[in-house]
Amino acid sequence: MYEHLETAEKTQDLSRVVIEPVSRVEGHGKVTLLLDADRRVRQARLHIVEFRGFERFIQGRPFREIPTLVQRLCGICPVSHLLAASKACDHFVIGKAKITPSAEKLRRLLHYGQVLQSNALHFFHLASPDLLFGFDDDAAHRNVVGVINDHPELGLRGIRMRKYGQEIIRILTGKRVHGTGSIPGGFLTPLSTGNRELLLRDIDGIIEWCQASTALARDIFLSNQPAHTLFGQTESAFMSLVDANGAADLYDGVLRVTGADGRIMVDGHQPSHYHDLIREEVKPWSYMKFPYLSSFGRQAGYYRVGPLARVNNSVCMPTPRAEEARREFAAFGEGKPVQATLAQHWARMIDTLLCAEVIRELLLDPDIVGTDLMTSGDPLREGVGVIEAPRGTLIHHYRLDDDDNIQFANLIVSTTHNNRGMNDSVRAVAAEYFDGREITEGLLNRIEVAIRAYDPCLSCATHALGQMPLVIEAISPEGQIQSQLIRHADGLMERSPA
Amino acid sequence: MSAPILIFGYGNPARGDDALGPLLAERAQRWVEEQGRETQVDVLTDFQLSPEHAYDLAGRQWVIFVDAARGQDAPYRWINLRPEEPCAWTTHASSPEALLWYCQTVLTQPVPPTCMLSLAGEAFELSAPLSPRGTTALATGWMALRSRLYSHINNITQETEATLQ
Repeated sequence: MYEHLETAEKTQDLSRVVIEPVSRVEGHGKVTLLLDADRRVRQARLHIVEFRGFERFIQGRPFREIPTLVQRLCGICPVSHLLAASKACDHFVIGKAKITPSAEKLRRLLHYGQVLQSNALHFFHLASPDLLFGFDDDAAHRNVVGVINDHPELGLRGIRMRKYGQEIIRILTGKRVHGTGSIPGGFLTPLSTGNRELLLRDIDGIIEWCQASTALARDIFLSNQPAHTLFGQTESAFMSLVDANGAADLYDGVLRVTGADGRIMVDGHQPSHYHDLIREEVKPWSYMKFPYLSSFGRQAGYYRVGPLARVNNSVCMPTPRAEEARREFAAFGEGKPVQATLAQHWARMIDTLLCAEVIRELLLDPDIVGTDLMTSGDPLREGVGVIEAPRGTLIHHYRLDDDDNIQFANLIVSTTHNNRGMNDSVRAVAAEYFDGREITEGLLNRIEVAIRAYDPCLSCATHALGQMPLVIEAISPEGQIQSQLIRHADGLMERSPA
Repeated sequence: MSAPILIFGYGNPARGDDALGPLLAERAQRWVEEQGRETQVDVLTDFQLSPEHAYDLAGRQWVIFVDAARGQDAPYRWINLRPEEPCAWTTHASSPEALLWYCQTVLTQPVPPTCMLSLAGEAFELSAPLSPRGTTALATGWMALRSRLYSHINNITQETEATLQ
């Protein structure tokens, strides 16, 4: 829709605006805008400094260490990496055999617990300030402190949902972080009946909160139409895992792609053959690759992943309240996938409601306290594990050398899948709001709101996070800084010349 | 039942000196077990801090966060912490001061005396080993922490005995 803003001609004649880093986004993001003499946006790009050292970090390690090791790649969703790696490494122990029902249900419980807590953090602490107060609210108020001061029950709800999800992780892996619950071939430790009762005690309240939060996200999105639909507009296909019946499944299944017109483009695609489906394009201006569906080409093969994809792609949700919410969401799309960038927040809360209901079902399933957790089979030398992480489809692919160490590793994380989508949304916002105007904090925030809707995460649990100021510079064609806007780490704004 | 003292080391063990927090916590945990101090000291670790960690602070008598720091001259530093509003432009991660604020404001719980044991680090890349500077900070930081732990535990024991009398 805004592809013409990807690369401008005669860039030497354009002014440059740099937004760096993008706040409330994990990792290092930078937005550059090139403006012509009339201050119209001629080029807009989101540059994400993706660290491509993951594969080297993994190569040469014994495969049995991998599920635990890869958790260290990401401080935000280590469990997603644990489970994707476990699924891939299952092949090195049991080949094509299935893990036991109890082991699979424990992994599912762990996964849905993780997605629940991750979604809760995003919605309540990162997204809700913009959604509740509006993009033009005073920056000093438009933050999590403002949310907690004005809506204390909402802040508490977010923290309790996080706490509940973390408790599932702690119980199942023995630790809050770096746990070893899931291992190649199955699951390490059974769930005790005492711990099952402990988790069951609070789940009904969590479901109620998730339902209320879904309604809140829906109401906010619908409250300002058509602005919320048009904001950061882009049109793509959607990819996610679904089960054999086309219902949403966050742990396993087959890959489905639904086109922007609502027609199914790909269905029943085996995750192990992801390389037949996806090709990654390299662009000279970005460290992060741009995946697309290879058989449809770069344009028609443009897709997005994540909660929006999961809700759009599913013919149904496997639980009643989430299904009711999905129907309402689908009705808004009038037969086509909902494309709105801001609808991702609504979809994320439907996703969260699904997690809570599935957790309850799993806890009530007798298999969840089963003790038959490991199985055997004929080992293979190559394995692919695909899972729906909080931000979308996560792919781990490994091959072994003769010593059972990892010889080849390839990881495609959700944020990479959404690289094109985030860029398109940034271009849409830039074209809509920046053209010919002075740069203000409110305008900058709109760029960030568009990016934050995808909840990108670059797996950087480093100390650089949150310590750098946001700097925007308008640079003349001669290279002179015309104006500068700095937002310091404490939120204070500084403009020069003043 | 939570122990009165909490040691919370955080950082990513796979990122060089970012492991200092978890490594010191690991060392403290061994000491707690060797000394049989499980009812007096809890030890926790995590990659990074999140708002729900506020629950871990509630009801404590003393909290020590342990973290690695760039650009610090001394191998270790003690810093007293007070509740501070979460940064308006934060990431997914929270600061220890923000956790105290969550504890006080959202959970409406009294905030325990809290300090940071800040350990000097310089290498934070994925797969990097501990730097020589980080190794020194870990050793000297542990001695400093152990000394304070003895002192606090003795104070708690004396207070408990006085209460019982």
